[in-house]
Amino acid sequence: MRPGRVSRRGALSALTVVVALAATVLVYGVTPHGDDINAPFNVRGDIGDVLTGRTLTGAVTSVRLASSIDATAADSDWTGETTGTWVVVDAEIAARFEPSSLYRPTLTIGDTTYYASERLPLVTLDDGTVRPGIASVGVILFEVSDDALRSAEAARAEIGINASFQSILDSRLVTQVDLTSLSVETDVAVSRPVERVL
Amino acid sequence: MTTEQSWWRRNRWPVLALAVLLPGTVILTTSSEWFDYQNGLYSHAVTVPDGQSAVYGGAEFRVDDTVLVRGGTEGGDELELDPDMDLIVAVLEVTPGKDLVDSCNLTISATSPAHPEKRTWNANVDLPRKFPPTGDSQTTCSDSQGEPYRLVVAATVPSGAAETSSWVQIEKIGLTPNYLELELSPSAVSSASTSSDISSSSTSAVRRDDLRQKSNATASRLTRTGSTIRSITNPIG
Repeated sequence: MRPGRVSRRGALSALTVVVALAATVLVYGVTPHGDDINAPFNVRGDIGDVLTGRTLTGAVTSVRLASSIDATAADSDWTGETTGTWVVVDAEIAARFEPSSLYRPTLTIGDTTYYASERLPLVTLDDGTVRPGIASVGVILFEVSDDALRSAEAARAEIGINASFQSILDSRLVTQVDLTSLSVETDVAVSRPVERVL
Repeated sequence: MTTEQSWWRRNRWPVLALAVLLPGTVILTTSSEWFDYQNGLYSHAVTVPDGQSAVYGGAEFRVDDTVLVRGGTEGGDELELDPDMDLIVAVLEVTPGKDLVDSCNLTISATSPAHPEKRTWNANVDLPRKFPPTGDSQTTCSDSQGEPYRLVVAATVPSGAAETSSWVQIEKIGLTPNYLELELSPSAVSSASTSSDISSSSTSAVRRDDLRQKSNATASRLTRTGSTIRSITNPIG
């Protein structure tokens, strides 16, 4: 072989190295890093869509904004005084195979995540256990700052419902909602969850 | 002149070693955590066929009666059972052993043609408002007296959820990964589900303290007559 000429084997080796490096970059790019390693598997939909994950099935049926709450139907005189606004989520959720809890539903607006309010105990859905084949129909409350509701990201807010802590490596039902199109109501009536056989 | 061997032929032994060592390394490094995880869950059912008994955690369990009350029937209405739900009541005879355990997790599982996958409901919670007092019968494992006792396991399930099969499941702390799964009599459940008058009789059965006597007297088709009671001593607990 003359000096300066690349052999076929040498070219093949170089090509193999390039392909291996490219594959490494590709795999690194598509695999999760940091917190994403434990991210949930989101099942996405819009209001009214029945979403089904590994443990839960159900739908967010409506979303309202409220400046105050009327909980008299739930035997409570709590009115939900707030410096922000309540996001009242109506939902019906059932377990799929075994009893399950709704672990702290979330409302995400941009980079901010709000956990469901615990200020009205025993009335909101996230305080109970859901059973297979029997949907719990009720409300989930989020107390949100007015600034967040006025932000552009509020048009693409996400309601997350899951059955375990932060839904680590588990499925999560995610409903997308435009909060900017809703008007703020007063004295929005809420009541205790009821059960409905699916 | 010698013929040059191909790359695969020259490196066959290292490649073969890699093919064995790579998956072997993965299995070796992860199997311990996998088995620890599995052993920390109630992942292994010790299934007991209908009519037989089994020893779990030192105590012997046997299903004595199974009663199904359909919603929307006279019996269901008496209990204020939702018309779209069924009530399954199983009465177990428990004979404590040497290891006395005072609590356990009780569930009822079932399958139906619409839901062939097994679904599970917590027992003795969310019962109809007028579910009768169980009297001397217990609603959780109460071995501490050392005397045989009756254990009532009841759950409300969606209507028709137990049309194919149903089981009582018992989990005792410290016995993972094993849990006991006692099959409920299919004849009892199916006959009750097809006859509203038997459902009514079943309601009578659960109205008073001694559920077994009542169900024997008023709904003979719901008792487990003729079943063979054969103790299975499982190497657990």
